[in-house]
Amino acid sequence: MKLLKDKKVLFLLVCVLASILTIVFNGISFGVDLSGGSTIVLQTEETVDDEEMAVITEILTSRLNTNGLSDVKVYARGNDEIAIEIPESADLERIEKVIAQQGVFYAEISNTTAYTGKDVEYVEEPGLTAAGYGVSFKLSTDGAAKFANVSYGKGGYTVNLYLDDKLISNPVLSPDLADGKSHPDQVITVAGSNPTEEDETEAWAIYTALKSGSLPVKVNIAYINSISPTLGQEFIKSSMIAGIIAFLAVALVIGIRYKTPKIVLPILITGASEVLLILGFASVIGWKLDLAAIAGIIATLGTSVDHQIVITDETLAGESKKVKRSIQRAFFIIFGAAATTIAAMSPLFLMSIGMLKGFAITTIAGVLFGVFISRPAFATIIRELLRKY
Amino acid sequence: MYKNYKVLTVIPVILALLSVVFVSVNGLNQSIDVSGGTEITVIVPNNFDYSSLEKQYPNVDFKISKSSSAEYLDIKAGTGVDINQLRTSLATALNTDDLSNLQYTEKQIGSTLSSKFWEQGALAVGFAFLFMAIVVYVIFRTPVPSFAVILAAASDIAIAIGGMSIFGIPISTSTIAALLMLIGYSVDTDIMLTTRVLKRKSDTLEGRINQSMKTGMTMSITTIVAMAVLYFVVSYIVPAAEMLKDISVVLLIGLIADLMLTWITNVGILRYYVTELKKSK
Repeated sequence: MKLLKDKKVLFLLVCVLASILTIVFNGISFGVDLSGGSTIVLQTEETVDDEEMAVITEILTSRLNTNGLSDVKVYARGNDEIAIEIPESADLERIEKVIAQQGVFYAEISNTTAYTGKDVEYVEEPGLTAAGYGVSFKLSTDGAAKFANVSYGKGGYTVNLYLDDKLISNPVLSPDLADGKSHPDQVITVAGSNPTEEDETEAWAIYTALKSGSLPVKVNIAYINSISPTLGQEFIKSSMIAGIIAFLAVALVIGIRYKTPKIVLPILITGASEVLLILGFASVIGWKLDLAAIAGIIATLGTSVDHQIVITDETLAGESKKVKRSIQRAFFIIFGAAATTIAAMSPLFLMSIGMLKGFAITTIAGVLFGVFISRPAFATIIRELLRKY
Repeated sequence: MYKNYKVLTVIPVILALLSVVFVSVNGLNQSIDVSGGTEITVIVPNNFDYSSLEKQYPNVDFKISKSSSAEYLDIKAGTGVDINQLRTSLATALNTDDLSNLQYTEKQIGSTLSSKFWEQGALAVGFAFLFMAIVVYVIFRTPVPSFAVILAAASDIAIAIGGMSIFGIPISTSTIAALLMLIGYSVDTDIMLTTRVLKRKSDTLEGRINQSMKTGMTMSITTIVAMAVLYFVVSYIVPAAEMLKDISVVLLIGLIADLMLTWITNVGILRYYVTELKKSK
């Protein structure tokens, strides 16, 4: 075949082959909205610098790990947003509570601070203690000394324990603990011996705050998207079905218009190859495909077919001598259209509004692959096929 | 007919203006992206009775949608509703202690994010439109044909938003994505038309327009058919993938409007430009 010797066609073949190999060996990962899991975006109440952001992401990671989630990803987005990805099903209620709290902890006896979260040296997981269900912890030597100092002679007073300025427990100080000696072992009880689920969540939130320390600023939950793995599988399956049926419908339309497989097949194959290129690209950069990315792939496929129709019609219209100029004009149209699409998508990409970055990335990548790799090859192929026709 | 083309040219633009008026009167449905709040979708047993939930939460919207294989319960709650309590009640009603074992999805938008929605959405669409207009002008470097392309794109967006208002499709991140896609698709056919009319030397003006129309119709119809298929398949199989459904409807409306804008308005302006404006110079 003469076509196989053409540089543009060869380039497309090599790229598609490379994409297939990457997809097979490197795999494609799906975003949590397709594979199941939760995405959470937190917003800090004020902008923070890089150092504080590093502290925040570290604390959040440790808080999630503390609550039995090991495979989480926590990363900063700009200087006021933190994104969290949890690729497994999890108890959202508890997670919301443990990550959204700032975690500033302190104990007061008659309005004097006895110790703070910084004085806590060791925390035990929530469980039944002698005084009821709650969290046991141990103060550092310094912390215990401070507590001994403040509590001296104050038997019968209440010890007010605050988390984020909310009173969480106020046990009465027994006189034998107010003897001015060091008593590092402390307990916060949240319920009697029969805790409800809510009490457990509360205890885990306290445990997490004591264990991971407090965040430098307050954070608010800006966005949560959670999907169970079974429904995610359903999404992947039905997007594929929808994609294939839409593809066949498009095949039917261009089949009716051009009536010859010599035109219809190259259009469809080129379109499919662009999808492969996008998937290969996603695999290489480790981009996770989410629903928005799938919408982007559909958009690209639509543009791809449109542009190939332009090339085909210009080739058909150009008389034998003028084919070259016709194709040039086709590419003028295609480059113009591609440039406008990229121009229209770029604000999304630069501003990364909401969750549409995946959409922008796949669309822009698809358009670029189209104009530089697949459509030049398609032009050569269609010209060759029509000449013989 | 030939003499009346100027009148015809204006009609789609009037439609777009009416659409703007309609939207400003009728307003747009707001998704939780805009209003903040929580949206839960869960597959429920057939003929699931949610009346007790409805009674318990009067401020929450409950809606059942059916697909070929399952029934979905859609729940939309504003920011004032205690979601933890709602989740617990829902789990009890569905006899489970963990909702994530079911076919379940939940989206929550906090008020900090939703309050920025209009600003960010308007910025995205505004900049997209501005960048597109600059690129179009750079491509053709002549004011009138460039203006025609930009006018067509603006009218398409206006009519698509009007359609959203009529059919109650909520404004959301996905419909904003659809509007941006519409800019791309709309301009594709207009650029093709303008290039053919202005750059092809052979054939008459009418011949060039007719040839472009053949190409452009094929382009638009393939996309329209693909979006219609996407819409029906998604509604039939997974109503929960609302994002894809909304995108396909908005594009459908916009692309159908684009047929008018391209082949009546844009063609009309080009015809006027080639036959009268250019000659008089």
